Amino acid sequence: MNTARWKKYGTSYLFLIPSFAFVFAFLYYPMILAFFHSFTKWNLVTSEWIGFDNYRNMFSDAIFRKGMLNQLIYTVTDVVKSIIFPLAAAELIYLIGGSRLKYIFRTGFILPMLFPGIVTILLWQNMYDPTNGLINQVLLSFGLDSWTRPWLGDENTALWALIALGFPFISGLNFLIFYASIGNLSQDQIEAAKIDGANGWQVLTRIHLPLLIPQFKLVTILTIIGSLQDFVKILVMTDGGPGTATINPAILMYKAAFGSSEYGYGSAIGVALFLVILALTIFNLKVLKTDH
Amino acid sequence: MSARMPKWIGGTVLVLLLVLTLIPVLMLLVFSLRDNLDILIDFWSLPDTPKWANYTEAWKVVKDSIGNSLFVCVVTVIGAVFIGSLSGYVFARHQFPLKGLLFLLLIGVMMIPSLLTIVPLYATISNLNMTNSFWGLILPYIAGTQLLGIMLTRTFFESLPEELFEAARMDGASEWYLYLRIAMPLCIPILITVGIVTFLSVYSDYLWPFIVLKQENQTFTMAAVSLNRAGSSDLGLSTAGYAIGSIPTIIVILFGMKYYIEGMVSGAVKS
Amino acid sequence: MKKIISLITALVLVMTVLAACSSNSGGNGNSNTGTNAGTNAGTEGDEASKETRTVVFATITNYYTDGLKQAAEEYTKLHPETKVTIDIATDNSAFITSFQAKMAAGGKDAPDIVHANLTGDSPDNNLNKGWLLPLDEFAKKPNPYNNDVSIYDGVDEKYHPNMMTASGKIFMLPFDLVGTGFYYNKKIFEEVGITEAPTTWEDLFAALQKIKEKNYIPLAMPFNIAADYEGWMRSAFMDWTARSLIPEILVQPGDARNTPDVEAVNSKIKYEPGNPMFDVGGIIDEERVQILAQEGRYDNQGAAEQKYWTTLKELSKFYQPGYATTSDADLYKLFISGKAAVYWNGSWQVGQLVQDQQKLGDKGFEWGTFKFPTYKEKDPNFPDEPRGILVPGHQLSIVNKKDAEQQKRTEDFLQYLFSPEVAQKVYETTLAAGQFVQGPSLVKGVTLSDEINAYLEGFKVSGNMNGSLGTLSGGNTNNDQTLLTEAKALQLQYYMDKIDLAEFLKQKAEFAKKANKKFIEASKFDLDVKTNP
Repeated sequence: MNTARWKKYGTSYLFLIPSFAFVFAFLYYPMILAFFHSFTKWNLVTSEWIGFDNYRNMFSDAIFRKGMLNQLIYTVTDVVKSIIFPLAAAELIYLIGGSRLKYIFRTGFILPMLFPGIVTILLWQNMYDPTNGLINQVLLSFGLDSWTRPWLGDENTALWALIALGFPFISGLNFLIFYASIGNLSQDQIEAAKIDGANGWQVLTRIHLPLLIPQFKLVTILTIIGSLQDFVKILVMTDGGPGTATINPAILMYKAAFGSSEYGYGSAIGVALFLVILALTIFNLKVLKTDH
Repeated sequence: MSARMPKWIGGTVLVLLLVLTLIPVLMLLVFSLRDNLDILIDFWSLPDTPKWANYTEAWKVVKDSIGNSLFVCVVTVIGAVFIGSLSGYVFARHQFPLKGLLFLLLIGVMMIPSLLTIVPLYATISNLNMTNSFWGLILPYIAGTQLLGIMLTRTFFESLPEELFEAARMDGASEWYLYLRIAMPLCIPILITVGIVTFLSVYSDYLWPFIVLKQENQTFTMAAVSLNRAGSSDLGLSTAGYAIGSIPTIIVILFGMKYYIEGMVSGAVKS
Repeated sequence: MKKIISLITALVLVMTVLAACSSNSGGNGNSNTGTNAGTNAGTEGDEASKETRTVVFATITNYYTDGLKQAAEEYTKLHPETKVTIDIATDNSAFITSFQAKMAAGGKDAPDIVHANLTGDSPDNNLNKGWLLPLDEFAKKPNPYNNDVSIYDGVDEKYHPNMMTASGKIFMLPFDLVGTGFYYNKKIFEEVGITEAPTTWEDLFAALQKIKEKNYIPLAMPFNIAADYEGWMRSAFMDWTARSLIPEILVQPGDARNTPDVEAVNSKIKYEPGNPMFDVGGIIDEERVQILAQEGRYDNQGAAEQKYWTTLKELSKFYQPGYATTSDADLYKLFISGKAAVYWNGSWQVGQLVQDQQKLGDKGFEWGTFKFPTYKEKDPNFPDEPRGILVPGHQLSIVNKKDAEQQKRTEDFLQYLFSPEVAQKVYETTLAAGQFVQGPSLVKGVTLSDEINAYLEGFKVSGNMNGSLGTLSGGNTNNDQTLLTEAKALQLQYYMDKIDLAEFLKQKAEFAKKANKKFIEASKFDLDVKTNP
């Protein structure tokens, strides 16, 4: 590389060195190991090369396919949930105005981040509880006895009960991302639109939403990553059941690795998840490309 | 849709959303004053008499661990915010060969399920003789959490107007100056966001410290989980532990939010 | 130029941090249990035996916490050069992950003694991986703390087979027994007019029906894979119907896995109707189990299968609503709060129940236990009596740390713990501290109070069921989580009336074939008992 090019690009690469140094030191080796072992039968001590067998077994496994299907539903709903509700909360705070009120709401919405998620999970477990859960109790008091059911134990409702868990789905991070960016939007454009007679809804749909596309992309990518790796909630609530009604690939990966000591197979599921997330991310970045 | 939505409708919806969001926090505080057996028998009721003993007992177990957690969190946040925003700045404002690929090489790491990397990562830490050391937590944490910082700051640095940078470059400012003196101050809210999120995710992590550290050096979550000592879980005691452990994080958040708002104000000024 | 300097500053910063940690780490770690591991392996000298070492004893939740801690303290008084720390795992899945990570990294930070259920792999795999030590030689060594009676001879011989892996090596030392039985709420039983605990399936169903009509939950049953205690019932049924086949699955003279010790026990075993103790101590050969399964000597769609699966399905009508996904912790909640009348669970809950009932005082209820029932009318497919479910609970294995001195210290502490006096004290200290024991001790000479014994009544059984026979019915899943999920889903379809009994048994037979095929491959069996893979 000649000096002119060095001068031009050198700083860029130099600035990236710290990030790469850390990732090289701590994350690439485990990643590469996982990739390699997805082609082996591995119990952490001995590994035996078996080519694509893990992948073949995975795709011929009806439970894995069922898990992928469930995952599709989880991920799509997760993305919708993670955009609509935090965005609505952030927009409404700006709508009502008043710096003191803003402060209270803003702090209120991020407060749950400080506490362990397990309390939320327990709370919902007790909402859905067939015997003395809140939902069935309310239905009974309205005389809707036939509507009561074991929400998590019935294969027709279990998946949707898990999806509804956590309502109103306002995660602190997504809320902060939207709140910060709405605050950063150029006020001139909005004022101009208002003078032209645009109402609140039009300001939202015509000005806010298009300007927030980078944030939508960001939240979508982060949500997809979180969604495909999430298994703790499902493990605690239903353990993937009843039968296979709520199972997902991440649970299967967890159980293969730490339950059956089949790290090779677990790695193959992990690599498959990685490829899916990567494909979705590239799609997200390319297709929803914004010009500025 | 009516032409103008009355403010009170928005207000009501907002209050409703806030209350629903805060219910788990309220439940946690109620549990922390109840006896575990009492919770087992009737989940929804309030305590007859608040059981403050939960707090005194939990305090004995968690008190030493909070300082450990704060040390790990603060060092990680400083490292991750600095390194992450530096890369975020480059990806947002520079054009150079292989940019797309390098970006994917970094954020691609986030897409590997962390469960798979735990065992090999521990081997790395063990080879570096960092087991039972706080650095065995901090360094991998920086490596992992900076990635979110890169993504977030990139998005925000990209939204800054190019003229700002052009003008400074004309005046002969270095890239380092542009990053530190122009880009950073304008993006305080997002840096605070990254800091808060990094802080909280590190503070609440359980599995990795549990593997790396011994009990004598335990972090807050390790201590809190060890409060579940009744054979199954002891909800009363452990929620009291979590309530105690949330005090430093509340201070961090309130402190952070102050600068968050100041940053927002300066962000508004620039445009 | 300026920018380059600042950049270099940044880099140096990172490097300093990196360097600082590698140099700091030594000073940060307070205890150095692992520093000599590996390098010192094999070198035994005066120096090594005098130096202070720590032995880490890791076990599940809080069983024996205070008792073990006291034993550790008193041991250190006797042997100041060895400190024993008791490490209690409050989160089992995190512990397993941690154990595997530490062992994969060479094991220097792993505990020295570990509960065998906390390793996340089968006993044989653990020995093959070199993670746990085979204990055949150690267990049979004279124990100086017990008048030179070895640990092996110092524990109840009925449970010797449980100490062994599928391929016949000793992998753990059993400290106590756990069993499964029914807990029942006497208050609810009185309310519906039942004074005697049921002993037959017919009486049980009648009782559960009456309870159901009073709007109680009749039976709290742990059903999902994470705590599938209904599986203990399935095993009990299999042992009941196919017990006569046991002699055929024992290791036999001429087999590759035969040894004089094994032959001495196995050669005495003959099936005798009416003698539930006929197979005490017998050593099973899993390859022979597979051969028997292939020969189809047991019809896994036959009359016996039809009968017990019908019984189980009828029982499932009384399970708590949503039983497919309820967790074990929720079931305890149903029973202690008086919402469920009967609770099928392990003897390890006795201590917790005693403790919680004391706390509840007036709000509590009287309770008792009863056994797995029989049929009122003798069924030729279910001869004899059902045998109970009692297996070792606190199973102690030694972690292979490749350090002879460390191993010596660990072994010495275990010998101390397995002396009758110390074991008795562990029980007494634990109970006095208001904590709980899991069940009766296996160390000969340890006795329990009358109160605890009375509660354990429902778990006391004559003879012990053989767990290997289940393979003939549903295949050996070898704890493969995917297979377990598949089996559970199939069972649920039958319980939920999605498929009828015949279809269920047909699909289960196919599943058993698939599972056994996988197990044979994993075990590298050639189905020739004269060779040992």
